[in-house]
Formats: sequence, C-alpha cells, structure tokens
Amino acid sequence: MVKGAVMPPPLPPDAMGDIIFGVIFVGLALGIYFHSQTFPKPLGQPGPGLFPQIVSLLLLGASTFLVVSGVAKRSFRKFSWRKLLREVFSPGARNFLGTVSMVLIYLFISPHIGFFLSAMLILFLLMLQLKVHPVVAFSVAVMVAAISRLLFQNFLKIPLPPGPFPGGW
Amino acid sequence: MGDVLLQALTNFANPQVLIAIVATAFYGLIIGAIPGLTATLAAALLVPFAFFLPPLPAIAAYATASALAIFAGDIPAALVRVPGTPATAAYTDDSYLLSQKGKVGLVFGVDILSSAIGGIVGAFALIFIAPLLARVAQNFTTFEFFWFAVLGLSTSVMLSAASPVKAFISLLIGILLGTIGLDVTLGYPRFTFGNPNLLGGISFIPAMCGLFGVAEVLRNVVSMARGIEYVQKVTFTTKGMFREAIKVFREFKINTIRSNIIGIIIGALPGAGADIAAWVANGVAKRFSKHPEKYGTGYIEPIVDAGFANNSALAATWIPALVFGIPGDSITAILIGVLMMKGLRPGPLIFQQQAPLMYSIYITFILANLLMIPVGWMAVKISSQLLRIPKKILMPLILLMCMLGSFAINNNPFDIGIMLGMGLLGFILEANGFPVAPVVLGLVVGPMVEWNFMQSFIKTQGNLLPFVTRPISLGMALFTLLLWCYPLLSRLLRRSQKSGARGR
Repeated sequence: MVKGAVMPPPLPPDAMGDIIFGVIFVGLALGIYFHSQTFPKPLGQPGPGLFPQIVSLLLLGASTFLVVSGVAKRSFRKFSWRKLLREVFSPGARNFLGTVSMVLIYLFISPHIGFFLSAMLILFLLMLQLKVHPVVAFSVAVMVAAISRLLFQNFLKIPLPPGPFPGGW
Repeated sequence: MGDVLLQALTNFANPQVLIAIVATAFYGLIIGAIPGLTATLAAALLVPFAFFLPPLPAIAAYATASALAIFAGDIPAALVRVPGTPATAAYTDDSYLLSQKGKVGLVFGVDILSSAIGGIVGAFALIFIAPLLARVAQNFTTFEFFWFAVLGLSTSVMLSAASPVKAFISLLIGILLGTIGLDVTLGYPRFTFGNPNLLGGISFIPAMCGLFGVAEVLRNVVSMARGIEYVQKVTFTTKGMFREAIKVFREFKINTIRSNIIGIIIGALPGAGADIAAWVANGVAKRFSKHPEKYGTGYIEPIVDAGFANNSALAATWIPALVFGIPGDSITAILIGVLMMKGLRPGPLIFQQQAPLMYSIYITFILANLLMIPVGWMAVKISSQLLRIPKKILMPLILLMCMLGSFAINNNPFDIGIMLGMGLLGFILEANGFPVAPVVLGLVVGPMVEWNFMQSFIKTQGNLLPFVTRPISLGMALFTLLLWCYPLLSRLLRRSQKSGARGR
C-alpha cells in the first residue's frame, strides 16, 4: 500500500475532457433555455423563466469558451478501449458501485425493516467490500447503527424509519 | 448606562442562565460537529426547551448554541471534508488539505481563536454600533442587496484554485440548481418534472453532504482499491496549538482586522449573514494576498479570514433582528419567533423598554465566545481521534453520517437521493478539474440574487438603470466590476511596469 500521498494525484491536463464537458454543458444550457421559454409569462411581468434564461445564456457562453479553449490546447491523451474496459471492471469501479448501491439499498429497504437493521446491513456490506475483517465490520456496524439510532431518534427526536423490534428498533 | 449594565450583570447571578449557557455550549458543539447537522438545526431543536424557559435563559441558550455550532462546523470540515455550514464551505478544502498534511492542530487553533475573537468583536459591534449600522442598512433596497449577493457569488470564482472558467461553470450549475422549485414571483413550479418533493427546491444540507462528503467517500474508496491511501495517520497534538495560531494572527494582522469589519458590515445587513461574510472576506483577502495561488491548496490565510468574518457576522446578524425584526439568517429568524413567544417585540423600542435584557444578551455573547476556547479545545481533542480510524472503516461511517444529516433536515428520504445525486455530481466535477464549493454558494446565494433581481425588475417595470444610478448601488456595482477586472488590470499594470523598466 502506497502511503504518504497528501493529495489525490492531479490528472494530467486533457483537453478532451474539457471539450466533452463543454459540449455537455452547452447541451444543458440550451435545454434549460428552451425549457424556460415554456414557463408562463404574465402581461407586463418578466415571468419565472427570465432568471433561468439569463443564467443558462451565461452557462452557454462559459461552456463554449471551454470547448474552444480545449480545441486550441490540442493536448489530447491517447484513447484506448482496452484501458477504458480495464477501468470499468477495476476494483476501484467495484468499490464505487458498491458505495452507490449501498445508499440505494438503504433507500429501498429502510421503510420495510427500519433504520437500525438497514444502517447496520449497509455498513457491514460496505466494510466487507473495503476488505475489513468480518468480525470487526459486524461489531462496528452494530455499534454505529445503535449509537446513531439513539442519538438521532432519542436525543434529537428525528423520526427515523421504525423497525420490527420493540421500541421501533 | 452604568445602572443598566449592573442590572444586566445581576441577571447572571441566576444559576438558570449560567446552566443554560454551559449546557447549550456542549449541545451546540455536538450538533455542529456532526457532519450534516447545522447551527440552524441546533437552533430549531431548542424551540421546545425555549418555550419553558424564562426570556433571558432562552435567548442566552440561542446565542450560545448558535455560536458554538457555527464554530463546531469547522471540525468535520477539517477532519472529513464535510462542512458544517455554507460559511465553512468557503475554506473546507484548505482546512481539510492542511489537516491531511498533519497540521490539524494549527487549523483547530486558528478555528477556535478566530471564532472566539470574531464572536467577541461582533458582540462589541452589537453593543456600540448596532443602531448606527441599522440606520445605514435602512437605506439598502433590493438593488443594493442584489449587488451584495453578486459580490458574494463572484468571490467563489476568485477563491477557486481551479481555472476561473471552470469555477464560473460550477457556480452557474449551483445557481441553476437553486432555481428548482416554486419560483419567487408567481409560485410556478420550475424544473420539478411533476415531482412534489422538488417543489421546495434543493436543500443545501443534502447538497453539501453530497458534494463534499459523499464525493470524498467515493474518491477514497476508488483510490483504496488502487492501493493508494492518502495520509491518514497524521500526528495530532493540541500542545501549542493556540501559540501557533497567535503566530499566524500576527503574520496576518491586517486580515484579522479587515475580516472582522467585513463580517460586521455584512452580518448587519438583513438577509446576508455569516455565509456571505465568509466568502466575501476570503475573496477580498485573496485579492490582497501575497500568495493567492495557494488558496484552495491547503493554506492557512483563508481560514483566518473566514473564521473571523463568519463569527463576527453571527453576532452582527442580531442587529437587524433586534432593531427591525428582520432576520439576518435562518437562526435569527427562529430567534425572532422565540422573542415573540416570550412577549418581546423586536424593534427600535426594545433597546429602551428592555435595556437590561439587551445588555444581558450582549454579555451572553461575550461569555459564550470565551467559553468556546476551553470547550472547543476539548471537542477537537476528542473528535481528532477520528483521524486514527482506518479509512476503510471511516468512509462507511462518513457515508452514514451524510445520509442521516441529509434526512434530518426535512425528515424526507428523498433528500438522501439528492445527496447521492450531488455526490456523483461532485465526484465527476472534481475528477475533471471543476471545483465544488462554488456549486454550494450558487445554490445558497442564487435564490437571493434572483429574488432581489426580480423584485427590482418588477418595481422598475423592466428598467435596469436603478441598478447603477442609486449611489450605494453604483458604488457596489463599481466595486464588483473592479474585483472582476482586477486580474486583467494587475496584469496590464505589471506589463507596463516591466516595459517601463526595460525602457530605462
């Protein structure tokens, strides 16, 4: 394990990224601009579309500038399908998808089995994914889920989804 | 004045007041230190207790809890990159990067002392210049507030270490996210696509938890798989942290004075508050800094400026609340409700009719900020143990805290979805060199810009001239323009100096 890196390593400048993001934001700006034109415009009033239209025009200008400056830079990294596929199926991508899935799983199961069980489950699964020893993962998951439940539900009076155990646990 | 002051001091002989101050100091600290929970939430949760307390302990509880919670928001920002408040978002990256470099002690020393001193300066402003500032603020209309909000927004672009175009795009994305929900003029639902959860707009808490916290978790879990572990076991000691902080304050003497003044002025404006104060103070500081290129890369100067500004602004937000009954931010909005509940009507007369109470409030502010130093020291000592937890355990815990914080603000699971969406957005933006702090500021201040712009536009029936013809408005417009053009002007000036030197 490489230790001691202070910052995530900055990506080398890639003009292609700027061009792709510039084009996406140009599309977004145009979409917002035209969608805002469908908003009602009462007589003698600017209507709810004016402000988003102004902001989307500014976004259009800035994104176009990003595309143009990206094209002018001409510093493109070589694209490789093999590298892309390697990235998509890498352990990093698996960790990424695992983390995102845990939030989605929580959203799906917490109304049915309650906060305590669902929080415990996602913590346990995510820690296993990150290669924490199962016993440690289980103990931390149970402890943190229980403390969070006590703090938020009992102390802060925030109504967390109730579970099947007595007292809504 | 002497009699009133003496009467105010005797109020503190009542143990109930002192217990309220100490208890809410710890309470505010706990709430503020939990990622995603804010000073506003701390104030809101106090309402049922305030109902049963006499006026002074109730108000003292508010002053203490909000001051400590605002400070405590700096703790998760430095340790796990989740800002407690939008004000902290102005220097989250610098705090976090500094702590990752092993300078947690320095960060917290500066955080605690700047918050405490800023808060005390703000309290003195409240005592001595509240009526004067209130009179000036009376001349402000939507035109001036529009420029103030634009000024606040501009600073986020200037503060960014990334390319200004990318920072500007991030800001515009934040402003556009802020237009989601019912519009300010007609109440027309915009960009909600039939989803009733979006009618109220995107709350900034889930947005902040996502953009900073979840994005950081995602970045870490990806890098862990690649075998890279960013500095985790940094050494942390509280020994000498205040001495180091005082050394920093000596180095940035002018910053400390300037940021306190900025904080007081902005805090005294109704609707502006600590968030804009921190951003503007940082923007101005960067303009005058010897090392503007270090901003956003783990530099102490922005923490000094914003730390002073947001806490001096916090006390100053009580000025419009007490003088006009106009809240400076969401905390003072709750405070006005509590004052009314206690039969006290905020307004110019409150200073005459309730003078001892007013002085007691001032003393509370000073006490709360003094208490911040020992209590804050204890809090950072305990919470810094977080740094000892391995990241493969810490990251899932941060994710759960972000989810809980996002849920707690409206008790709506939809906000957890917003948090996830914002986390993905933050991850993608950061991976491609777009800073995320301007998105937060756009989301928070964007609606203020729109409201003031639309109100002015409707008032003048589409005439934009008053934005630049009213004296204060013109001054602010010129100042904003100058700030925008400063990089270009300084480059031109440097070029002409160089060519002049060559000519000689």
